[in-house]
Amino acid sequence: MTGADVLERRYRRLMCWYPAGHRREHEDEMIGVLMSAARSGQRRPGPGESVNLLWGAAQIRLRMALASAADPGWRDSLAIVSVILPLLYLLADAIPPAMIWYRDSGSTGPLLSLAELHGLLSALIFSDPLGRGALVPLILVILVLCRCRRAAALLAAAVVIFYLAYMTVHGYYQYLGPQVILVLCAAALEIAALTASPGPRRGLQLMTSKRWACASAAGTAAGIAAGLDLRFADQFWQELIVGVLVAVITATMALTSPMSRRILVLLAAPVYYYTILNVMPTMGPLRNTLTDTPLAALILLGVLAISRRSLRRPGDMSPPKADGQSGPGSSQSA
Amino acid sequence: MSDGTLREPTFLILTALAAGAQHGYGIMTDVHQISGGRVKLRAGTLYAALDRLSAEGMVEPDRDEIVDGRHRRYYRLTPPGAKRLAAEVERLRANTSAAAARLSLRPALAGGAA
Repeated sequence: MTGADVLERRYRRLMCWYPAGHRREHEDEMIGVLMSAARSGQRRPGPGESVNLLWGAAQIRLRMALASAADPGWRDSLAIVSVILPLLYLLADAIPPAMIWYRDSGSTGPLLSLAELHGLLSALIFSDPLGRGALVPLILVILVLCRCRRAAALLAAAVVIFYLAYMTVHGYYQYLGPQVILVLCAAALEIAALTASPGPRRGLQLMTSKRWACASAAGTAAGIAAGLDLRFADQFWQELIVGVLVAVITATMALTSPMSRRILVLLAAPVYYYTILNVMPTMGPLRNTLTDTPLAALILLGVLAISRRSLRRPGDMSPPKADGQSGPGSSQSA
Repeated sequence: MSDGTLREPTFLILTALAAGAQHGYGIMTDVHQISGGRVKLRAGTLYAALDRLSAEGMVEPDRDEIVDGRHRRYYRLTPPGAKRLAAEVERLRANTSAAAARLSLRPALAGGAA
């Protein structure tokens, strides 16, 4: 292998930092430029050159990320998420306490008495010492369905501020666990969905009956899954059923349309934390490992990386015309 | 397209393409020459700038060539790119004229070196 071959191989290794689409379009061309600019006998990229290539890759990735955020497809997906997320939040927070109440109340009939209704509402609203329960998600759902975008965003922001203030007063380390990360993550996503998209008005326009059905199925499955321990004594069967349920919903969404895939990517973090925390209660040490932030971040980045394959749009640098007009004298090559 | 001030490397890349299409290495050597040897573009900077300028519609690929087994892609200035460069030239000209006029009022400089 000659010195030039070694140098080219090392340049190509640095090119791995560039987005795949950019590499497909420009790698050979950039290698040509780098090799033309290389000193005679050079065998490895200089430190400055390496840093410059990595910085260039970071700039291109950032531009592409910002362009994706401005993509109408992503904005529409965020608009749908702004509607779906509070519904999922409500179902996931309401069904488990409702099922606990149902088990403990001994209610038998399909119709509830006034006292039973009061007991159920109390269980739903005051089901958590940190003040969670279903009240906040219920108000959020009402605001979103009434298309009150700003009020919904303010409420979601208030949840974040409340949690941060509560933890500041009572000590971060005591409360900053995966459960709190889940709530903060969902609230932050809702704020982003409400502010960076055309909002619930657009989301509701886009919510076809099929999407409503998917959202309802996913939400109900998530809520029921969390309360399944009340129905199944054997945790293995519970987790197997839940695992299959989550896999079916994910696969259905991944296969149906680019819009569903985008929604899946956007919901990946809260759904991931919710599943690990509430749906897999007997995983023990493995569950703790999976909710550790660095590992969780890696898994979520993996989901994002895989999803990008199916979500990628054609690059901004359009391919050149293959018109063969490369005759001499037609250029000013240096 | 951004209406802000062009950064120097961007300005020099557009200037290098103003007279006609050039490939990547050609742009690098031309920028070095235009700037009197002061600015030495590296490949990472050049392609990040070309990526952004393409997205903004100021440059576009012109054609491809294979030279000595190496792929070369030529880029050209688009009409919006030429308009943007002309606007920047006008802005710089106005600034330099104003600066020269003000400096000429200083006695020490008006008559030559201080």
